[in-house]
Amino acid sequence: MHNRLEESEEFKDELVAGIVKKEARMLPNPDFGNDTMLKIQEAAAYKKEVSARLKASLWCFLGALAVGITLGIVVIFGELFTQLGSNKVLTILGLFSVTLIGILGLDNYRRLIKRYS
Amino acid sequence: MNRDDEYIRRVLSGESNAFRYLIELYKDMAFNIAVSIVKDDQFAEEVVQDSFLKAFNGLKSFQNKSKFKSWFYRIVVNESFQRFKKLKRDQSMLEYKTVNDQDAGGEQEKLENQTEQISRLLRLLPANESLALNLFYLEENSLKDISDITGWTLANVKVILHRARKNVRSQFNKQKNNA
Repeated sequence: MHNRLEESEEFKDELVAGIVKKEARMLPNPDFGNDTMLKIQEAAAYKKEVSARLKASLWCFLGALAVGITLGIVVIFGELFTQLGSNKVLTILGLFSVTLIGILGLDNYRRLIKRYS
Repeated sequence: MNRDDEYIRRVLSGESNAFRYLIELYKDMAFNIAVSIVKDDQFAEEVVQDSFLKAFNGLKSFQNKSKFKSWFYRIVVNESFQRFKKLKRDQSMLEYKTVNDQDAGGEQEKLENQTEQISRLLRLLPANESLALNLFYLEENSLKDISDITGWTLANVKVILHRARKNVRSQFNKQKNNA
């Protein structure tokens, strides 16, 4: 604390301080506060709308993903039930890629919703 | 809890109009910081407005580890330097002119009084020197606070302040001798 005060004392300069204070400026726009608040409110409303649309879109995506996975499983396992063991690698790869796409999609949604909420 | 914290709490609880208090409180100093870097009133006003928008949007991430003032001024400084770089890239009009260029001016300048010429010098100082002077002498921040706001090291703050003071003083003495 003492050191900090000493450091600040080192730069004490009445002349320079006087010049800087004399040069101090005020914002020339008297409506700056209103303009800025208006912009802030517009930005907030925009964010709210984007967030609502993103959430709706996310539900559609989740629905499509669930239907896709179900259909995929039915198709793949339908064959497997008849020819057990013949398409095991294909089945695993198929499910793995669908899961990966789903996770990536969800992660992007998570980031977008976080940004706009 | 100080007044700033109280208003921040109100903004975060959904009362966005409470942010107006922070705007009114900090707009002029933010403008001084911005104009000391971008050297243009109109651009400085835009920078201050963008900074308030950024502060409003990032208020959730503001943690009370530092003062709101320091946090907000840091946003203004970053925004100003970003705009300054962009302007410098786009046009060469904001290049730093040396004080000597001004000395070569016509009769009109000679008629200006000493203080006015010194004030002009402040506007012509490099962005970092002018910023340091404003933060230290106008806003009366400590060296540590200036370091927090600008992201410069403490040693760098001292060097810049020393250089800025020397520039202003030498110019002042020059004017005094001419008078």
